[in-house]
Amino acid sequence: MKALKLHIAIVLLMGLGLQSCFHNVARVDPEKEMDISGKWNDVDSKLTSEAMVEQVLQEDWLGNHMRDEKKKPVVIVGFVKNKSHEHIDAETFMKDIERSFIQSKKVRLVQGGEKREQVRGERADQQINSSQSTMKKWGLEVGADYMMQGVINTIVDAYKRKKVVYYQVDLELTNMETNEVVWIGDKKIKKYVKN
Amino acid sequence: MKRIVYILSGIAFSLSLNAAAQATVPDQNPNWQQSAQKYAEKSDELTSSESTTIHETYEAYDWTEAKEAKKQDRKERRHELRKLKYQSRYRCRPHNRYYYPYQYNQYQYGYPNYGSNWWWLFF
Repeated sequence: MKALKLHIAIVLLMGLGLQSCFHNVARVDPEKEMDISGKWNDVDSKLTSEAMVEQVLQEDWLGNHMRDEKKKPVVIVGFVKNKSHEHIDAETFMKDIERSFIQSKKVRLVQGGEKREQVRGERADQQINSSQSTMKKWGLEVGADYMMQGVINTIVDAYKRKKVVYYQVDLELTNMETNEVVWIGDKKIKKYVKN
Repeated sequence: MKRIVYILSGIAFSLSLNAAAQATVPDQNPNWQQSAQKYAEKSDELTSSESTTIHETYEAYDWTEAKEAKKQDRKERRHELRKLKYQSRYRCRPHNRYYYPYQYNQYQYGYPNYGSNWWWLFF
């Protein structure tokens, strides 16, 4: 009887051990570069945001605007079109760029899209529900000087188990008044994948 | 006389409050009322998602999940095929032969005759 219990215990322990071998989860440093399938991943997003932040904050358009207007430029973020063959969420690197605008204190940022709609909806709600001293006025939003838009393209070259994927992310700033493109930034990533 | 002065001063005070509430401030967009009117109509809809999480998720490709889904599809397809075969066989039973003489292949008695629509059996 004792031996039977011992055997059952050993089998259970072995089962648990095997279970832990099949499924394992570990937290890793977000800065660590990890490539598994070869598709667009966090490393590519990080490389793109780093390159774009460097370009957008150091190129001539910023100095030119400061010289001509004597005030910081105001930017609104428009769309980023994904024309690639993969699901790529541009928000991961666009947010890094937006944060760099605010942290650098060189560029002002205004809200756009759905978030702006919600802010305006809340302001409309304040007009009938908030006290007069706290409700916010209409017609005092900051108008953007530039709009940032972008596009993601890929070129895939594959043969048998080998594949080369080329990503190109382009962002551009357009003057809202004159329609002039004042800055174009890009990041190119080329990957060789062997399955 | 005193009463009239009180009433007049009360009216003047309320008018000044109203004016303060609607007064335009320097640099305010002169068309602000258009925007106010537009958003007043849909403020309920726009504020309904406050303090909530909006889910716009996507299905990421997972090799093991895709394999499992493929396996499940295959299983279901085979099950459907077996069911279809069984139903056809039942329909072509000998006692029904008299009524449906051309429903089955004479060399493979009892098997369903799919005619020219047999290609999908290979998938």
